[in-house]
Amino acid sequence: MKKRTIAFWFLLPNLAGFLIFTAWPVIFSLGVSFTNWNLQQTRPTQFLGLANFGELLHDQAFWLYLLNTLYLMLGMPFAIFGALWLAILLNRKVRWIGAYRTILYLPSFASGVALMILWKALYNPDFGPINDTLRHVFAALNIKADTPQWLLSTKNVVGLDVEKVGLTSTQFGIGARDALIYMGIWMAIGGNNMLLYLAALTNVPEELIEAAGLDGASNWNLFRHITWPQLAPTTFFIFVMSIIGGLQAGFETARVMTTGGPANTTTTLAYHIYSLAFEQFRIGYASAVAWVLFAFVLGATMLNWRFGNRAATDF
Amino acid sequence: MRLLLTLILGALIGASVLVWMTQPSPSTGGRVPLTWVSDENPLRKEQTALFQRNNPGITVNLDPGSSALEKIIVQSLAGVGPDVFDAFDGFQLAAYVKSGVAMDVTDELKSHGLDLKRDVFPGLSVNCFFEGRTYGVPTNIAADGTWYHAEILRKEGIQLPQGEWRWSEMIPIAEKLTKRDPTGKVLQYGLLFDWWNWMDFFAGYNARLFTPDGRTCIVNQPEAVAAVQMMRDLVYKYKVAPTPGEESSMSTAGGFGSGTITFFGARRGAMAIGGRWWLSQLRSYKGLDLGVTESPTGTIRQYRAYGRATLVNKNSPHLKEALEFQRFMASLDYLKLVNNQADGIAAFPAADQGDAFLHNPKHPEETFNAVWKKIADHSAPDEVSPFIDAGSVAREMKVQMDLVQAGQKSAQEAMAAAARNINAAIAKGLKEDPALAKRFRDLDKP
Repeated sequence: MKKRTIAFWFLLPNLAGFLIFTAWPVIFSLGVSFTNWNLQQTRPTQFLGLANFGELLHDQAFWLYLLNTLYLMLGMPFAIFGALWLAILLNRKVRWIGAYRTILYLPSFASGVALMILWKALYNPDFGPINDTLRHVFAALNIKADTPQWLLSTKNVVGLDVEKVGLTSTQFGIGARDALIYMGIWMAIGGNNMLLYLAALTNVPEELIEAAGLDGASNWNLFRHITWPQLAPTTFFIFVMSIIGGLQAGFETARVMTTGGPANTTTTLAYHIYSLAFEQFRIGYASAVAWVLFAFVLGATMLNWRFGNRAATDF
Repeated sequence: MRLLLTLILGALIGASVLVWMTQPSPSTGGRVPLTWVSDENPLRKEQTALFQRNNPGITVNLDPGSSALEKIIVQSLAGVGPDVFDAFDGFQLAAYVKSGVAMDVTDELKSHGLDLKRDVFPGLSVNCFFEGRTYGVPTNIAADGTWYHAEILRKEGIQLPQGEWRWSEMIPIAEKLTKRDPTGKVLQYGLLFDWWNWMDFFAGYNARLFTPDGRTCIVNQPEAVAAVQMMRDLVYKYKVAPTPGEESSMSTAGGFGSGTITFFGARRGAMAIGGRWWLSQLRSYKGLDLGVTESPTGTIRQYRAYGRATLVNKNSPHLKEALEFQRFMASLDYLKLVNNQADGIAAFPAADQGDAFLHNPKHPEETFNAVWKKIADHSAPDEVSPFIDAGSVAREMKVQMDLVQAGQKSAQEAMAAAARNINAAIAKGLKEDPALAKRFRDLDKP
């Protein structure tokens, strides 16, 4: 009993911080989501029941920004498999492997904001090195085409409309959303996912690979039937974390690179919540959107737990 | 082990108590500290220094890092807001008032003989007044003119008109001043302007955001369409101004006043639409030979007025000193300083005349101060509607202007969509707020 009391006192500072700065605001925001609380006190705060959630169903902006969020997650599989591929390369026993690992992980040490500013310069349609290279390639191949406007264009490879949920041929092309996807893939490939895969690869039993090799298994079959199943728990973990991260993403990029534009095409749910709460001061409605986002994250995670692990192992 | 951990815990608690007990008193050296949230304009330091010289009992700490609207409101509502802060337009003023942060200083100013309705440029009314009460004391006025590099124009044998002129006169001049290399890459633009400043184009076409009663958005009217069409044509038809891509390359530097100003200062544009406050940056460029004339307009000699106004946090623990600071913004010393620093021009027309205003001995090359006064004389305030917050209007207009600027919508389509969406937002607001709906209906009463 005495031990428990002492442990409690040691845990108290952390617990108090968690309760005051995390648990309480979360519970508070749930309560607020049922009200019309607005920091610009145009009318008294009232309990609205589920009205905010009802409004959300008919709010075109919410669906557009949800679509933006999901669209930006299209890069996720590429980022995961890219990280796996890189980890496999870095798991080889070659000279200077430590240096290679360090160099490829280095961008993860850099500040995200600094990287975003760097990419903003890379994407400059007139002076950026990406378009510069493309112009040279187009000239060499005699291709008569304009280089993409990247962060300044509302176009996208699917043709999502700008002002309503739907597709339109006029928006087909490459634009800001795609630019953010490519940047996201680059940032994710050499990051923590690669490290997780690297750690998992070192745990794949050597004797299994050797035995299969002796039986004449090809490199692909070695990967397909031995390495991949052994990596399944790691893949599952990375997948779940990527889904969670993807649904919550977009705030920093919008704040630093695009301010949610052009024409709101890079506004994600996370940035929308910020904008609702701190630019439009609709705290009640912003809380409702935040809780719906939480429900999406929870739902996606539960689906993953239900089906994801088995699927990864069965592949 | 247990002893060690207990000792660490005790040491942490002891250190916390020590820090709490020895924290410096808020009024260091007997002087009352005031926190002023403004922009990061380097001129502010000299302005606070002048105030402190006149008021030795008060120290002003400038906090540009908290200058975002949402930060000021959230901090103030949480009880840790600044004592005084600046609003840059009518939307911000309304937001501060509605959120209960700004202090009503109507009676306070009256008791000191200040009548802002009488004494400041009418173009600044939205920065000072909200629903008939006074909240802000304007600290400067900016109304944009056309800057030009005099030596570039001389070389081309061009003399710009002084006074009122039209876009039709400007376009051939801007075309002549736009220089390209043999590959077609632009070396020098004829004219630079900021897309965020679409209200200035609106003013020149006498385009209205709302009907006079504020009940209906009318940006789909021909005047507004013509204003936006002109912005688009300058980029895509006449090709005298930068495209969005070219413009984005101007704004990567960051910091106060970057972007179009630095581009103009580097002579990448022969002319540029901007305010007198640009001098706070342009003065640091060596060898510029600058001139200013009124900006061309569409149909009417009218320019958009904008500026700063200083507000007092009604929950400030140093209200007396904060009000003192706010009144300082209307003092002759401060107004003279604003004019000398070229932080726009003083918001009180009485201060913008005489030799001291027209000729700054430190900058004899600036022979155009009378032009700025004339532009301010012809300036009009931003429009606000009581039935929709200006932030929502600005957001909707930005979406549509983005689409026009990117060449994906015609001016007519964009303004039609803007009017439709803004009117839908007004209707939604009325549905949610019975008091607002009553006010809307009451306008029908004779």
